[in-house]
Amino acid sequence: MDVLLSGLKYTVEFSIIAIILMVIIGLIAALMRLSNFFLFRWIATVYVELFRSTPLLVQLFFIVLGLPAILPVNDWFGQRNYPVIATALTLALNEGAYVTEIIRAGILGIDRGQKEAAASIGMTKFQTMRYIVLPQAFKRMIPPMVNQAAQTIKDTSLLAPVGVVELLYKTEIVVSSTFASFKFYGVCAILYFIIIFAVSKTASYLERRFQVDKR
Amino acid sequence: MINVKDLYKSFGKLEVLKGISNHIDEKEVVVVIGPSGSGKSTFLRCLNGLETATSGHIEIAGMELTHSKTKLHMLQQKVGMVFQQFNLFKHLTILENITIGPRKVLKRTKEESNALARELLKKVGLSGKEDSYPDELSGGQQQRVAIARALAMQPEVMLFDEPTSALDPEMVGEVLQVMKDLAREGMTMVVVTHEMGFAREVGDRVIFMDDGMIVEEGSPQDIFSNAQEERTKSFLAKIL
Repeated sequence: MDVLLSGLKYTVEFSIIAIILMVIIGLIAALMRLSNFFLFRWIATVYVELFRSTPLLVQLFFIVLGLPAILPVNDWFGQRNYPVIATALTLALNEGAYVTEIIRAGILGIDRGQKEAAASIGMTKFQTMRYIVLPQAFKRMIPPMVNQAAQTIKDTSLLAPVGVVELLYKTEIVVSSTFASFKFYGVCAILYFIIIFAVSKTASYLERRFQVDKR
Repeated sequence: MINVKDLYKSFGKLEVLKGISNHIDEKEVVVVIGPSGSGKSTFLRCLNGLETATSGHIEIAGMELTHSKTKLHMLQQKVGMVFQQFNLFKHLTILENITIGPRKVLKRTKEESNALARELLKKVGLSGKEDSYPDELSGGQQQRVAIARALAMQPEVMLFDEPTSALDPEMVGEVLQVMKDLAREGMTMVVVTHEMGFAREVGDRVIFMDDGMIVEEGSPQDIFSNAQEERTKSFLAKIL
């Protein structure tokens, strides 16, 4: 059981890092997709399509196990560090592609009049985004964002097959030495459930708070 | 104050403004009337850069608008705009709606901006609504807040794009009253409206637009009682 909990610790850490990174990546890519500059739009679109149209597991194998075959990444980051950094980044990039679309849709959903009003009081594009559009878009983005965060937490289990230690990986170790597969895979599932349930409950609480304060 | 020369504007193949030239003096109240689709709103939106003119020159308060994008924000600070749909910032309180411009754009302090906002709210008759959200106010109240928001930037010109068209009839009066007060204080105003009573009472000059051109202009007296052009007469006959 302690082994599983130590695995859970890694899962939580990976999830937090990946979720923070995916939001940052998603925000940048979403703003790029909405940019007037075609090169930005093009790069962001290629990124989103590339990561949405290939399975996460394949991306993980390719980047974690494939890249070291042609690039000396292990020398750059260290034999032990590279898989950890690479998986966290791949996970964040993958989920970030979906976040990009969530944020983009959130921004596009804001009435054009809001932007025009901001322009009419002399706001720059940046100020309009920062003070007018994003705060309103953010509220609409909470439910799909929570979904995506839950998805990210679940997807950390895909790190096990590429050999990165987390909850499922530890569970497999325990199962292979005890053969109590029903029990430990069950516990593993329950642990995932607890984290994700806690996240979505916290989120819906926050969402209600926002709605009471600001109609 | 405002100088417009040979202003053309097309949306794709549709030519909306076909050569508008006009001069608006300081403290003048100009009312623009005309059938829908005549280009009057587009004309107004060109004046503060919400639409970019296809060709022509616009000069406001000594600043050339048409080409340089860098100075656009500077110009927009000097030109206030009131929209048909109010467009208040839905996520901000009434007070914040008014102070966000002074604070973020003009970099005034919070205290200074709040004091200004309260003063403006008093002026538009909405003291006590500081902490409400836009959705909690009636249309007429929202539009008066929108006027206060524009005034908070201390603009040199105020543009009104059909400010009463989205209001229930009983609320039109309160908004027009605020506009009349503003005109009396000497604000330069360009007003697109269907309120002919307002045009008659407050307007220094009435411009009649049709099909992307200025058909006729003159004092309210000239236009409403003594129109020369056939198109002006037939438009006025329909709405008066």
